[in-house]
Order: sequence, then structure tokens, then C-alpha cells
Amino acid sequence: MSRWDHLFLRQHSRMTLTIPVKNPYCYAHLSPGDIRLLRLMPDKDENARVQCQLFDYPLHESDDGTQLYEALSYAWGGSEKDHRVSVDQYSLRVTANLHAALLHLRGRFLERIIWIDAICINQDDKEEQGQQVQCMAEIYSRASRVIIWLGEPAAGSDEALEAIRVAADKTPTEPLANEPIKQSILALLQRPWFERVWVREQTLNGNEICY
Amino acid sequence: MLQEVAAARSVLIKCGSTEIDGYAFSVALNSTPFDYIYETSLHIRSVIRSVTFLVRGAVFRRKKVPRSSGRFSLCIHPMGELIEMYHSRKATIRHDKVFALLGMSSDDPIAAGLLPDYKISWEILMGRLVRFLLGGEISVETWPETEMAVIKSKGSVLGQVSSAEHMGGDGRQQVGIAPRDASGHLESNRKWILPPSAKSIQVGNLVCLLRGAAKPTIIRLYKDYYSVIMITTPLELEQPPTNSLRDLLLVWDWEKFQGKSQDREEYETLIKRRVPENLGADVGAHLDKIARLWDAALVLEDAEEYGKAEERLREAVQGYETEFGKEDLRTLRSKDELALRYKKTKQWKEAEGLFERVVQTRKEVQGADHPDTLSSMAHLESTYRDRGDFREAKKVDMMIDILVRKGDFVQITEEGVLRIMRSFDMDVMELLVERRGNEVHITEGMVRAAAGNLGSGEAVMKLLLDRKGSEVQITKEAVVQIAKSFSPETMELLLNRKGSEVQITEGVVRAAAGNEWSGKAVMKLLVDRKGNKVQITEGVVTAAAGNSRSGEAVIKLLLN
Repeated sequence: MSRWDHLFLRQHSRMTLTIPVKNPYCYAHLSPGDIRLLRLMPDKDENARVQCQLFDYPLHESDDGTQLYEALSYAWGGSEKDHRVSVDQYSLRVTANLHAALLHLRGRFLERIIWIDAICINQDDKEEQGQQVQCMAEIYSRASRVIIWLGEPAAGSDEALEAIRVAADKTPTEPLANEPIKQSILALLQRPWFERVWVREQTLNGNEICY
Repeated sequence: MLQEVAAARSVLIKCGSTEIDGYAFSVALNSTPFDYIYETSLHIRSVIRSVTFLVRGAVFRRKKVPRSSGRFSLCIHPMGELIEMYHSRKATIRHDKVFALLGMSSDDPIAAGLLPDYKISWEILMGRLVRFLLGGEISVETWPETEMAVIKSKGSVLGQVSSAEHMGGDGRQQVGIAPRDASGHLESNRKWILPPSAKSIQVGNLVCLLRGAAKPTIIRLYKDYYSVIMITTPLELEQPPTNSLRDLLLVWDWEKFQGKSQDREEYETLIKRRVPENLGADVGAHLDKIARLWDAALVLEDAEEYGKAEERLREAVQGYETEFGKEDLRTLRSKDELALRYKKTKQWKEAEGLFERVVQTRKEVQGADHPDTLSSMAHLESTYRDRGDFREAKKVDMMIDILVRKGDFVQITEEGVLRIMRSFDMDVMELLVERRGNEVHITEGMVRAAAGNLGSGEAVMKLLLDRKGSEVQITKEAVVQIAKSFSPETMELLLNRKGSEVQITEGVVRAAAGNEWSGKAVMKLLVDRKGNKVQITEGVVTAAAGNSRSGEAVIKLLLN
């Protein structure tokens, strides 16, 4: 334990006296052939804490077609899991980029069912990881839609996507002339999502996240 | 990401709160206004093209996916092609560069033991992957934290890439390949379309089939090893001639992209740079390196790159000589091979020079009648013949003949020796006397032949008299011939060895009187040794009178 951990624990134990702190989420055993899905709860306040539920879904018993869930594809983004979300009244730590994605995906009135590797797979269970990895192709194939999360808007990303949309519609043959737009598009295409093969959380030691 | 996108039936791209449909995104990025993106860098091109290729396909995929017995796969490409498309991408956990592709693979790596298992080390996983892709008849070396495998195998060259260009927007490459026909020659081009890969295929790359592999591999030759450009390809090419299996040392390096400036890079340098802790002072390293250069040369010849092949052979010969010395059999064998190449490319001077040196060394080291020596001599002979020097060729042929024939030499003696005497020089004759002296019976005809050969006849005659004097039968005609044409040394030798048998007839004295160059000396010898037999007849005087060069001296001598 580093000296910073002591400091943190001291602060933390003082806090427990005043406000009730949520315990870390503990995964239950997953039956073979099942996956976990995340129910992202709606909130009218876009800054409110992300609330969700996890439930087991018998993917292998479902029918041949696509299922009523979406699957998220995103770049891990940074190494720190320094954001917290509530899962079934427990706490789960996630990276900043995933947290941002959840905020942008949350509806105001409708709940949303999503599969997200970092949350739906118990990252501390190597055996489960291995099993779920074999299901990955099926999980993404049966999703009604795959959402690619590129990250927060920045460096003219909105304009870049708009230019791309217009180009798809009008199919122009002239080269792009607008230099700032060209640079924005290039920047967008160099975002981390395009670089990675498949990003998953690095395994954390269980002790470190229990508080 | 790739598997996620490859599996998707519908894609939405989201950045902040802005969203765009994946199909629209891909169509736009493959249209002309966005060409500038692909000119920015090869890396961006390969990334964006493979992404849009997969995203664009989402809406066309069947929504119903039946589950086959236990295994679910998108069956997009064989594993090897998938790896080549995507190994350059980043992954948080290196294992995912392999495991993330399993669900997209159309072959079944899981059945072959590539089950997702995050507990095994990277080097073991990489080794298993290579074995799965190339079959069992290879040896693989891998390292922790290094995305590289060194593969030793045997393989044959199937063809050579003669053209390569990227197609449209999705990173596929159109590649022209000149395949080798049954006799090993490169045929004319055939065009193929190959899937996108991290490394671009280039003109001059080789297509080879490793022993035990199901599909050909595209490789690029560096100085003494090969870089894998595409580990498996969907190419269907004719099997090459069966005798053309070559030793290949392949480096499959996921981190090194384009080898532009390292054309002459050597294996040791590469390994040292990539895996610093690996290379100690290996005892066999030098030998390995020479052997690699040699094998590379053979492969280059398969690809009909004779100039480059010769360069490596020369270097290997130099290597053997430095390492093992001039007299080592490996050095000699390599020189033979190099000289054969010189001969094939009509570099006569180099070929003859090298063969001559090899023959000389082999004679000293292995012996003149050793099969290796004879084989080198045969090469030398055919080199002379190809160049059109039939005289030299015949001479070497004779020598081989002398060396090869053993017991049966006696039977062909007269004819064989006559042939040698009539046309050839001391080298051959000496060899004959030396090697087969006790088998040779010198006949009258032979002596006549020697005496009749003004070029080397005298030397041959001397040799015969000197070494085989007791066997030489001298006829009257032969003595006349010697008196007339040869120097006094030969006459002296004759008198020394065969003095009692030599009949000094009037014809002999007449011949000596007519000896243009040595008339006086020969006559003096006759007078000194056989004075009582020397008769000065009218014929002798006439002969001396007709000898414009030394006739006067002869007459003076006789008058005294």
C-alpha cells in the first residue's frame, strides 16, 4: 500500500461517518451461454450520476435474429478508472471516456439496453473473460445496432462529421477545398478508436478497488 | 473494434451528441473529395480503409445468423489474412491481437488449439499462431513483449510479384504474379486480387509455399533472410518442381512496416535491434550466416535473379574461405558452385580461373583421382568446350581419362597413349607416366608419334626415356627421327638408357648431319660415344651439304 492509499483511506473513513457510501459492485457467477446486459436508466438532468442495472441474458437461447440491445464500441481512453457509476445501488469505476459515452447515450425518458465489455464482463475473472471473448462476435452480431463512440466533441469534430454526411449524400467529385474542415476530418480519423484492435480494461487487483 | 464492426448489422457513429450512420460515413470517405486523407500516410490509409471496408458492409449482412454446433464465427476471412490486415493496430492487451480475430475467422483456429486463454504468455501464443497458420513443419522462435516470430522452414518459390497496385478505396491490392512452370521458369503474368494487409506487396516480392502449409506466403528477401509480407494468401498456384525445396529463414515482424532503406540489412542486425538480449556469441552463427547467404542465392536463382544470386554466392565463398580456410571441402564445393554460375553466364575467364584453382587444390588435398577432383576437372573441361577451346578441353578430357581408367588401361594402351602423344603436352603425358606408368607398354608406334611431334614430342620422348627407359622399344626409324629432329640431350638420354640397343646406321648419321639446329652437337655425341660405328659416306656429306644452318660445322667435325 502506498502512502497515498493511507491518505485516501483516512479521508474515506471520515466520510463514512457522514454519508452512506456505496459498496463496490460484486459480480455473480455467469452461466455458460449467458451474457450480462446493462440497463442505462434515463435522467432529465444530464449531469446526474449515471445509474444502471446489470442483468443476465440467455444469448444462446435467443432466436436467430438481432436482439433488442445495442453494443458499444469505444476506445478505452486513458489508464485511470477514475469515474464512478452506480450499478444496482453499488459502485463501479470506469474510465473517463466510457463515462462520457454513458452520459451522451443516456435518454431523458427512455431506458436503454447496452452491452459494454468493461462493465458486462467481470474483468477480474480470467475464466469468464476467456469464455466471453469467444462470444464477442455473436454479441455484436445479435445487437440491433453497434454504436461507435469516438469521444467528446473537439477540434471541429461536429463540422467534420457534417461534411462527411453531406459528401455521402451528394457524392461530389471535386476535392475538398476547405482547409480547416480537411484538418478537422483528419483529426477525427486519428482519434484513438481507429487505432485500437480491441480495447479492454487492464485487470486491476481486487483489493485496490474495494473501498 | 474490428470484430465489433465486422459483426455489426447496423452501425451508428457518435462523437459527442453528433451522430452519423456508418454506411454514409464509409461511402463518403471512399469518395474523391477525401483522397487527400490517404495521401497523408500509409498508416492512416491502411487504418481507414480497413475500417470503412467493414463498416460499409454492416447493412448488407444477414440479420439472422444460425448458430452452428457450438462455434459462432462471422467467417469473414481466414485467420492469416485477418492477422495481416489488423496486426498493426493497438491493443490494450497484446493477446487480443489474436483472440479478437477468432470470431471473424473462416477457418477454425479454436479447433486447432488457439482457444482464448489470457493466462498463457505472449511468446507462446505467437508461436501457436504461427504454427496454426503455417502448419507443423516449421520451427518458430518468439520473445516476450515482442511482436515478432523467426520461422525456420523449407519451401519452394512459386512465383514472383511483377506488378502491385492498390485498388479503389478498401485497401485491396491487385497483384500480378509470374508463376514458375513445371520446369522452374517464370511464366507470364497472372493477375490476382489480394485482401488488404498492413505491409504493401511490392514488385519483386516472392511467392513461396512452405512445406506443410496450405496456402502460399509472400516474402521479401533482405540480404540473408526474408521478411514476411503476407503470411497466408488466397493464391492458387501450380506446385513447383519437387526438387526445389530451399531452406528459408523468415522474420514475421508486426512492428516493422516498410523496409525502405534496409535493403541490405542482415539478419543479425535486425534481431539485435529488435531483440537485444537475444544474441550472444553463437559458435555456429558464422556458419549459419554463410549457409543463409547460400540459400538466399538459390532462391534468387529460382526467381531468375542471377546477378543478385551471384553476389551472395561470392560473399558465401569468401565467408567459407575466411572461416575454414582455402583447403576446406566446404570452401572448395562452394567455389565449384560459383564457377558453375560463371560458366552458365558465360563469364569464361572467371569460370576457368576458379575451376583451375579448385582442381589444383583438390589434387593437393584430396588426390588427383578423388571423385571430387575428377568432377571439378569435368566442369573445367566442359567450360573450355563451351567457350570453344577444344584443344584445352581435349587435354583435360585426356587427363580425366587417364585418372578414371584403372585396370582396363592396358587394353587400350597403344591407341590411348598415341592419342595423348600426338596432340598433347607435358601435363598430360606426365600424368600418364606418373599415374599409369606400370600399365603402359611403349611401342614403336608411340616413339614414332613422339618423335613426330615437334611441339612437345621431344619432351615427351625424354620423359619416356627417363622414366620408362627399360620398357621403351626403339626402332631404327625412331633413332633416325631423334637424330634428325631433337636436341643432343635427347640423344644423350637415348644413348644412356638404351645404348646397347641403339644401332647407329648410315641413316642415323645422315639424319644427324641433316639436323638443322643441333647437327654438330648430335654428331659429336655420336662420334664420342659410338665413334667406331660412325661412317662418313657420300650420303652423309650430301646431307650435311644440304644443311644450310649447321652443315658446315658438321663437315668440319667429321673431317677432324
